[in-house]
Amino acid sequence: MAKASPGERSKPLIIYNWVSCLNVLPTKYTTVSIPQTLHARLEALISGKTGFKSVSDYVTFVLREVVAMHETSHVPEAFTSSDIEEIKNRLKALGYL
Amino acid sequence: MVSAPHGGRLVQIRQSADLSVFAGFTPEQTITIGKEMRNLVANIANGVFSPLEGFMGESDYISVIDQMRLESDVPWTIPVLLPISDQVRLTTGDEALLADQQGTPAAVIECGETFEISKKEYAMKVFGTEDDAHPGVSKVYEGSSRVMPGKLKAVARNDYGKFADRTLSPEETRLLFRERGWNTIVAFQTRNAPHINHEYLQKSALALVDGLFVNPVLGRKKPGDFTDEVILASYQALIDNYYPKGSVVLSVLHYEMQYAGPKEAIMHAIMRKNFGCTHITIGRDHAGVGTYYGPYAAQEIFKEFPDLGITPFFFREFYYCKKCGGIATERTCPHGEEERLNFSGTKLRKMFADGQTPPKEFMRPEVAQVIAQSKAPFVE
Repeated sequence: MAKASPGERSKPLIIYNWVSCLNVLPTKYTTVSIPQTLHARLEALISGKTGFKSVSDYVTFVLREVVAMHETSHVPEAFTSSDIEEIKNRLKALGYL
Repeated sequence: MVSAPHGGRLVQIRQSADLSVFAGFTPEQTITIGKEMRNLVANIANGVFSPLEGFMGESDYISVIDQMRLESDVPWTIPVLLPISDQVRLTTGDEALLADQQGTPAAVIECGETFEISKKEYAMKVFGTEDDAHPGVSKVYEGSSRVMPGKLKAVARNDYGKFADRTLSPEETRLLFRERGWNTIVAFQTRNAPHINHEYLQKSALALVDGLFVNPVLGRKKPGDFTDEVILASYQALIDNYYPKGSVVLSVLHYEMQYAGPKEAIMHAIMRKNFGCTHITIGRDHAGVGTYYGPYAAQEIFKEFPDLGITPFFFREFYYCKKCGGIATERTCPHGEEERLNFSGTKLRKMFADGQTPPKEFMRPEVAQVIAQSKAPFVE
């Protein structure tokens, strides 16, 4: 893989171009661009016994973790104030509260 | 703070006690379901299976068996399907009544496009085997290969009979945990009466969090298993006598075990996440049966899901070691299996049948007493 020379801005590299795999993989994929230098670092990172087969696998794994972290920190309460009294009454009647 | 619901939203389909809303459906518009499917419908309506709002369509089905994710990318490992007979003639957009064999309404669904599954593909991808001796595979083979997707439109209140007072919905447990001031809650999945080793596993986890959610699975069981009544009563005895007051919530889950080992472990975690749990204990051969899965395969699979949203606590098997004179695991005890105090299910059943109880190093006397006093502690 070509590395960016010092001072040269890394060109984006398409890492998710799995469109050709769509006939065997039902999941739809799209493309995301990352710098070539980052791709190279990630490739080196996963070359050990990490279990990741490709940079794409690794990036997907990490992004899922990040997205889940953000999604779970912005979830509103499931119940309204009118529900709360009704639920509390049942929980008290059953001895849970 | 309790765990966020899986997929970001707790599904809440209100269950109606008024059955008149389910009137007017002809036999051709009615799909007959069994008790286990009835419980599944109630679980979907209560949000136990959030973010599902009904039975899966083909795209979700394929995504789940191939990718272990819903089409929306949310982790999911076992399809939730409604098998139907070839006689059903309902088409996309029709409304259908789900009712039990006596005709009692369970729900109304909006039908999607029916599709066929390959039972062998399902068996291999979900259970990792095509062997019909596997109870989960056998059930798939017995069912129809034609399935009906459908979103729940209305749901009748489920009758949990004598277990109604010990059945809580995710909405209720979430509020309960909040009222108790628990921010971290560990779930314990079980289908057995508690032995000492279960208690130590639970207490090891409880030492790290605010509260313990003991959530026995009630439903169809194998001959020789403890009955649902005994499981619940024996847990109550254990909690009353051996846990700090207010540290445990005991509530049952009406759910049919699939015995899918690692894939079911993920589903167990998802369900408990929806109840608000932040952690779940995963022990040796979780949700396994026979020798189909490696002893710790159910722990390994969690590595595939960085976005599951519930943290597993992995434990080795606990046991009483005669030489150590206490509870140990293979990581803390150097002695061989011959030093471990253990009883097979067969031996345990014979012991109780003969009027004996296991030693206190294996089972708390109060728990053994509950079993001994039951007229029929085991499923025939």
